[in-house]
Amino acid sequence: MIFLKAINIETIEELRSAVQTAIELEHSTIPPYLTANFTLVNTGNDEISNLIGSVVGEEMLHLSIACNLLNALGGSPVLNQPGFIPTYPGPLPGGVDTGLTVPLEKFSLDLIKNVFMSIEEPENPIQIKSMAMAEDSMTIGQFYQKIKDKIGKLESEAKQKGSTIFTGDPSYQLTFAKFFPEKLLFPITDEDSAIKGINIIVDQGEGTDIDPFVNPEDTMEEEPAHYYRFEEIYKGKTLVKDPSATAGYSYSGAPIVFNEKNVPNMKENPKMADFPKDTLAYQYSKLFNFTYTCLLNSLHLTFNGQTDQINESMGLMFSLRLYAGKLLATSYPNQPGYVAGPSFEYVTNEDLNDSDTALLAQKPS
Amino acid sequence: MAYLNSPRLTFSGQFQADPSTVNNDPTHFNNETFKPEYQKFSDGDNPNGWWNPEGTGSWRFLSCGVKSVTYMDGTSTSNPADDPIIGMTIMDSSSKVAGKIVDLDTQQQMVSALWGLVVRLVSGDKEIIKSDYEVASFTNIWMARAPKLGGDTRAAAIFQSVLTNISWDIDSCNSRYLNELYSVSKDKLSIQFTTDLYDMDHTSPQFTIGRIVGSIGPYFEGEPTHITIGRPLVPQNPSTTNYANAIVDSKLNQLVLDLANSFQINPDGKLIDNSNLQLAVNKGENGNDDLIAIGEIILNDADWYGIKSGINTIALGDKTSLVEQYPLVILDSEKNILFRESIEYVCADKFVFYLNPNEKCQVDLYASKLGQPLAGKEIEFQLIDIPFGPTPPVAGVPKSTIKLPTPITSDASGKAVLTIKADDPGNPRGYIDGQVFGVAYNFSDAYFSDCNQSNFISLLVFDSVDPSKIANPSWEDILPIMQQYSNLYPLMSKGIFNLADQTIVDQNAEILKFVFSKDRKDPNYMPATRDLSRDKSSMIINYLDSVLNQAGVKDSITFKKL
Repeated sequence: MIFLKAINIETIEELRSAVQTAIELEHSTIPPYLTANFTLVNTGNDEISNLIGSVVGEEMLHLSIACNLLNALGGSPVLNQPGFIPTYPGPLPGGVDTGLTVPLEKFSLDLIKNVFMSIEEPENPIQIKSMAMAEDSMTIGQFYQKIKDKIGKLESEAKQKGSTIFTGDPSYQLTFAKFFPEKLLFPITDEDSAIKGINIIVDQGEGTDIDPFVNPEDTMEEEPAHYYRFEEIYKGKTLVKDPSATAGYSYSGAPIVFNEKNVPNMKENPKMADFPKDTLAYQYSKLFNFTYTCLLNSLHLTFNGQTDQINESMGLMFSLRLYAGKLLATSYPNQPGYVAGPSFEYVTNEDLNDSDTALLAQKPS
Repeated sequence: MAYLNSPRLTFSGQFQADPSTVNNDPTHFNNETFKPEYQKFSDGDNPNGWWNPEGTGSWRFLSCGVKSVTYMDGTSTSNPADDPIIGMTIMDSSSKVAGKIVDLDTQQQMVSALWGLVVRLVSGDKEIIKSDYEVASFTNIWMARAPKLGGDTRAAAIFQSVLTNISWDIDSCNSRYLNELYSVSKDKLSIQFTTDLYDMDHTSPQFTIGRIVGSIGPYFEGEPTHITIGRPLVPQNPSTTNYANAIVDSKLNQLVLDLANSFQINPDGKLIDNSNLQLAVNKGENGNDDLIAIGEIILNDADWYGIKSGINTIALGDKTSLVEQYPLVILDSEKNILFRESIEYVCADKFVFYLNPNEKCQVDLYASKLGQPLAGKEIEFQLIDIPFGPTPPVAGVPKSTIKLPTPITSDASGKAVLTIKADDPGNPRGYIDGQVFGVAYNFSDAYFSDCNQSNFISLLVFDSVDPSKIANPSWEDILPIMQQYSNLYPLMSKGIFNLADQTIVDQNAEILKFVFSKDRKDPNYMPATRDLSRDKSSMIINYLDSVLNQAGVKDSITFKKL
């Protein structure tokens, strides 16, 4: 389970700051999930890949909901700064340092069990009791609960003064009905819609206390919450209703088989700077990272008044997948047996244009 | 006025062109005979999918910097201390996908165009200029540029276009150059560049990357966008030299000469022969030369290519009127004539067109004599018989598809507008949609064979589809098209969507409809190859609509594929 640093929210500024942290947190799981998923492309693991992909899609939804919330609260989401991307391997944004270290790795059942399931582990009272929880930390569920509480408190205070904390420009609200039903991604304009949005985030991630499946109101199709979707992969069986089981559910459905054979042997936690500049791995890493940076720029515009920019963002997401494929088909320089992989680094114009004169002058083949 | 006029800047660096090459062999369009190995890289024994079967189609600037500027008064600098624009970067978009490089057709690969390219000038992370590059095809491709190298690495080509939708943020730059450029040409700019030393070796760290030098300058309404009316210089020995162009700036008493794509280079990019040359005019008549020296053309200069982009400025002093009056020649140090000006010249502005049955296109042609408009001159047209790309199938037939007018005559401004109408070619190539045609042109009193052989009009005319099929398509109707894309673009079919799989297409109908419906100029438009006819495009969109109407649900797996 992820523990976040306990935060104090008293003012609207602190509330906005907490929601910005939520945006960063929702984003931060996407690179590790995507990296694992990229390594499953064309390996005969479509079922696992679709499960991870469905989680990634919902993390994107959560990021969008959090951005809508921040815009509704009169804040401005920031997605295009170098610090927006966490360092991998490392803790997630807002996390306590002693917590989980999240890497960029190829898919493995260990990664699912030790990292992805830890990230998504629901707030189970029994478990919480048994875990030594640092005094100044909180769970993701507690984090969102706190945001909900403070929205309620600050809004009722504002209302007493005849105003509201939902002062954002409604035209900044993103809906994307082509892909996300409006019951999941909708304009946030008041306390009710804000609470509804947060509930979707928490429900899709954790499920409810009694049911591992996401409330049908909060999903496009019947599906378990993220933690249980990952556990399906780990257990190798789908989760089904099972009256004979104590919890009423068991991993006894159709098998989910992992075919390890064709998964590329990506070296974990690659960094662009680790690739010698005169290698294809470096070139592809640079293009991957540039595409990723463009995507963050594009999303930043999307959530700062240019909602149509989401269409450009979609194009960049597909483009990113292509460059990941090229990296995974390229040998890792000086590391026999390994291939390169995506590093999800923010690149500046300078990084991109470090025109190496030696390269320019290099004799072409 | 164009990229050779003041105020202009030069830039240089690298570019990436990442076309997919499975479609470089026309026979690969035949679904019946397609083999899986056509999706692999070529090896010693088999051409397979040629040199880049996994191309993304992207085209982008890499590491391009502004190297020099020339002000309106004709003075130049390449020192950042003089003007902060020196050292700024020329880049493509930072918030959408890269532009695309696209062949007109598998049987006309010599006029590849850039689509959806954004051109930006940036300083650090600050965006100074942002603009859209108007779709343009390369021309003057010269396969003997780097004679010691192989494949396309030997070649050079030029692209000329205009930048539109320009946003400027120059106030804080304190750049004299940018202030001057904005004051004379804030709505549109002229841009031209030369590409060479392209690396086709997929094991090389520089794979898909080449060298680029270029220039950006003012553009004024009414001028052609893809050519510069000037002083066309014809190489006298095309095996070692290539076409050049120049303008005379009578205000500044200068001749500005673009030689970037005119001389041969060694594998290191340096000129094989960098001896200085002589510019002269030829007063001779009736085939006798009578040369008067005008000035020296300096090639022996380390800055000539990388800093000055192969552009030479020659002060004319009191010889401006001579240069305006007589044709130019360029001589080497042994007085051999390397280039002669084509005294009367006609050139099409845009020279690549896509047509559906019963559509027309208009080609703007510009006639000039010694750089001045040439009025009242008759221009003739002729379909080209010889194929200009790989065969089979047979290209350029049936000729009756193309309706060409009788000769047309240039107006007072030297301009003549050719209207070409296309009929339905009737699927002469079977497994490839439509047909490619070439239309040669020249003055009625000259020979087609005397033209720059790059100067012809390329047309891709699509087939029609039975309207009842368009209106109500089944999967079987669109499968052959989808199968072809799946075969020819393995990066797409293996990496994202296998378009030949009905389940995949149906499950992603929303996103596919979205990209198939985009504007062709959008870099996200599908197909990236822009070779889908009006009718087949409608048929696919109608099919996707029928899926969406039936299912009434959102794409079930789009986000799982991101």
